[in-house]
Amino acid sequence: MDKTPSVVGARVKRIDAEDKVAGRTLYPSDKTLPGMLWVEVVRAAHPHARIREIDVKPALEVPGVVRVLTHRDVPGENAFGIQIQDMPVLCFDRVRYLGDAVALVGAETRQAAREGARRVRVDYEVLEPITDPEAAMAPGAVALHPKGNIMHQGHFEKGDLAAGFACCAVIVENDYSVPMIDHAFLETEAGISYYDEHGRLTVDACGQYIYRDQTQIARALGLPLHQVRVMAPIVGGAFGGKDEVTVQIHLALMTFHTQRPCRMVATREESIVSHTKRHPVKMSYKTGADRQGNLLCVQARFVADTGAYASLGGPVLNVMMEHAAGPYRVPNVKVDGYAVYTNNGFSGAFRGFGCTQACVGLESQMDLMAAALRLDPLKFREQNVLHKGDLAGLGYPMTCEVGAGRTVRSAQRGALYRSRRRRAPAKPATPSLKPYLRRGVGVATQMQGLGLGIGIPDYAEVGLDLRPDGTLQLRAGTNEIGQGAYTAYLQILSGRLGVPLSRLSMVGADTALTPDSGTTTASRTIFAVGKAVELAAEKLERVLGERAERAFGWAPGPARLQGDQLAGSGGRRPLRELLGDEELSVQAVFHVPVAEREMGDGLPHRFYSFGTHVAEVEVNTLTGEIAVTAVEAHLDGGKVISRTGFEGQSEGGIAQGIGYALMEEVRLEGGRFLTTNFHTYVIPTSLDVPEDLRTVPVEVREPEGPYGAKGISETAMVGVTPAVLNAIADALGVRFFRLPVRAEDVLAALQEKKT
Amino acid sequence: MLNFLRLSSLADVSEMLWADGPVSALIAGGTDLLVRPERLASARILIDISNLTELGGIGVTPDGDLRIGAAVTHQEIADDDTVRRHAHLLAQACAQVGSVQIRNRGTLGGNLANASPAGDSIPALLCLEARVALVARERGRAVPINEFFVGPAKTVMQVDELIESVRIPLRRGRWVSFFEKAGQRKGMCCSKASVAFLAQRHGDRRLTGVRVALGAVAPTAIRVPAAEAALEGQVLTLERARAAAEACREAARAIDDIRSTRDYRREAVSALLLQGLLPLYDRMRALARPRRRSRRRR
Ligand SMILES: Cc1cc2nc3c(=O)[nH]c(=O)nc-3n(C[C@H](O)[C@H](O)[C@H](O)COP(=O)(O)OP(=O)(O)OC[C@H]3O[C@@H](n4cnc5c(N)ncnc54)[C@H](O)[C@@H]3O)c2cc1C
Repeated sequence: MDKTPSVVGARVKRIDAEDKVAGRTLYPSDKTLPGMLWVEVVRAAHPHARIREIDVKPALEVPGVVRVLTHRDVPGENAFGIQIQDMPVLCFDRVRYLGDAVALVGAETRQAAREGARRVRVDYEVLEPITDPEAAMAPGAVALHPKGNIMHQGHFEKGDLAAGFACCAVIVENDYSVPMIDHAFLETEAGISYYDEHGRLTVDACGQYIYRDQTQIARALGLPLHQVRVMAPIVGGAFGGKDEVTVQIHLALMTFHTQRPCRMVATREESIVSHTKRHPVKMSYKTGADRQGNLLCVQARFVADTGAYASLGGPVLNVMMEHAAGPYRVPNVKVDGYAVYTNNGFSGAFRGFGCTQACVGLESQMDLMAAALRLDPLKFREQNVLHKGDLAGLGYPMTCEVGAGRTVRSAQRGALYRSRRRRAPAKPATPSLKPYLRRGVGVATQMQGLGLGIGIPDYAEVGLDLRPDGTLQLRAGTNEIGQGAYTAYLQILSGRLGVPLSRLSMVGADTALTPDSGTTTASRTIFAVGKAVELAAEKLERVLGERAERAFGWAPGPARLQGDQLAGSGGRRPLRELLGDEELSVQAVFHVPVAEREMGDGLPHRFYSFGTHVAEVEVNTLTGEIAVTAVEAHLDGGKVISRTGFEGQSEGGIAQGIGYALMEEVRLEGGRFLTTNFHTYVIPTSLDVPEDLRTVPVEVREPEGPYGAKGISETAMVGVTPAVLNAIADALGVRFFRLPVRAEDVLAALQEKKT
Repeated sequence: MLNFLRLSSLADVSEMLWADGPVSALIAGGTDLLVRPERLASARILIDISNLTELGGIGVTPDGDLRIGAAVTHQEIADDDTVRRHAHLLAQACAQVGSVQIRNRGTLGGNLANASPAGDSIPALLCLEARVALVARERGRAVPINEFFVGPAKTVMQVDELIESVRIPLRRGRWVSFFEKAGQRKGMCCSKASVAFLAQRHGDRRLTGVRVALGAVAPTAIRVPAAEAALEGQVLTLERARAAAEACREAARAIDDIRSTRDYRREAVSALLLQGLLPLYDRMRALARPRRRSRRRR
């Protein structure tokens, strides 16, 4: 019998829904303070140049300009970066990409700040931009950083590749290319800074990990941690793009020097130029299987353009390599990866975190091998998926629950896959004949590491305050970034304590109020923070039991909350008799279990989510336009905590996956951005996302997670892109190896096929 | 400093334009102006014309034109029965502009004054042989639509002129039309290529008065006489449809830019014409077959 309380897994109204819909919620870009200065950044005029001189005088002459800061004004370490601090807060000798900050202008109005920024004179010696990662890797290339241009590399080998290929009945070898893409979060980088009532330098801005941002700010300003306070409870989207510091240090610096509150809001153009992107990757895959359809070999090589600075490029490459062989049992594997510095913007965290790129290559290969072997694509996958205890691609054992096979079988049973033989579109848009439309159905199976992986501290601490009237407040340091995690935390809390949601509230992401719950990234918050919530609930009942034992002489054991009453072995007593007018607070921390052996930064993971996507496309062979007409997502994120949130993640992931497959690409020329805003950088609209979206939970419970939950936010996106690619190939009999697949590419390929 | 003015009459606006033409800009829906800060930067006065009654309204004039006020929005045009009856093609084109939000604000006058080679109403108006009614302080003139555009973002309008309305001659008979566009995505999308088609349909399945116009494949939208000739006075067949499509490809003087390529645009206009003609071909064949059972119900 399933004893899961009904609030867990339910469709509940998000706790933040009403305020957001009514426009009452204050996002970082909405916040203002009396007497504040506007801060504008002077960014690099060239993607690669030496700075000879910076003259701020003309800026200071602009009426309203209060202060102009340069590298000389950075009191601490003039460097930041999540992993390697190779990125200057304000550049001093060289600029390496167009987003590099050279100076900050603080002014009474935004107009004055902008005018000031325009007037700062920077004398550059322009250098040739390095834009081709392969060339950047070559010996003798101009080095962008002291240790050379190969920021990170990894090499893994398992089994005997040559012997493996010798046994293969089919070997498929291809090169793939995936573009740089932008997170396209709705709210650009923004926030405010000020000294709070305790004299702490406070930054209330967008971000994805307040405690790490606090460290990065403190380091750059040369301040002790406790003098810096960071808040970011509500963020207007991020998808990894606000994982690295954006406005935080600049805000803090201006407030530090002027003692005045400050505000920054990036324009879209500035946002696109400055923040991290998804790594563009060139990859080569050679894979093989025997006649029975057993996958024997996966050989992969990745060259990831990490751009000007490290940020999380190293771990992204590691995750790419970790997932190079996907959710499959493969005896012989060889993976080589390089993350290379160039002057092409800079890349870092983005939903899927390296897995996204690898999955495009591997899942295309899987379809090509299945076709060569005349096997059904899903049967081929099912035959090769990992099971618990199997060795994963890089050779470590899968010790978590593995639902890969179940997602494949769920997809096999789905209506979309069963209809895949039908060539003509089901419901043409108009009743007249459209013989030029071709229908195709494609699949992709995928796994995605959960959390930060071994070697990177991954823990979540939360606080829980019980009020004498029996209401509770949960404090967690992660952000509400649009994903709905705060609601899910309260669902877990409500389930564990038996207290209705209406009596629970949430305080989020403030280093002065909330414990360190870790990052809001890596599909980890429901799993890691949710588990900490569970532990806090248990601890609260234990502490209540102990205090009831002392106060009321109840028998040892936990006590339960019932409204404003306490229930236990000795019956029921009003909570106030125990607490008086005081509140009772507990803290609990969950350390995410890690793999047995470390193979690299964050490598490997101990836990994974799994998914199989089925996509249907209609390709217009006249115009080359591709429409995604249906998607089914069969997702194993363990037990679903919030059905609404789960579906929301899935549907958003589908939209993003379609964008990656069909239209999104940050285009650069000589290190300069050609796609400068949403006019030219196109993302899917609601009309580009099919109405026919089905999300099927495949709930393989992970005992380590809260109620058996894992995470879903990346798995929900990653498989969509290769499923669409495979559907296009199914429709046309033509395969694409380069993303995005635009109408232009379709027509060119169809013409080539004809001749 | 930018001043925002809302005046109560067209005469006042004309007066303003006459006095301050170079430093003032008209704003109707603002959907073009407001997303182009560089154009706003040179203006010191914004004159809002969206509320002027003289620029509103859709109706038939005494001299037999369909008149659509310059400040009428794309959505109003798409939904309007009079337009649908007399200039269905324009309604079809306006219905495909941007998104609901853009259609609710963006105006016909703005689309024309903006003079983008990709403006969606323009190929339709070319087929419909519309005239653009311009007014200035003490004069007025009607410019045939094919003489209105000089190049991308360039029209024959003088600094003190503004668009009062668009006039479309009424037609007799049964007309068929379509507007097809290709873009980078389905919603909020600027045309990479577009095709407008208009023809009179006769009982004997012949098409006359055929008009074909293309958008986004030349400095201004263009008519394609060769495509029109391929269909004019003929029964629509697949070969003729293909010949007309081929003529569109030939006529396109497209360029490579951030949205698409020259080659694709040329292919696309040909494909879009075919895509529009195919259902028409089906329909006309169906109509020709005597007493078909599955007559489409209204
Ligand atoms: C997201 C988005 C999507 C879009 N999609 C499309 C699309 O699919 N197809 C398309 O064709 N366009 C599209 N556009 C462009 C725009 O919406 C249209 O061109 C619209 O018709 C402009 O009308 P408006 O009233 O908003 O013009 P405004 O922005 O108010 O004005 C545009 C220009 O015209 C001038 N002007 C306005 N009215 C007059 C007048 N009566 N006389 C003289 N000058 C005048 C103004 O001074 C200004 O220079 C899109 C725009 C956006 C932002």
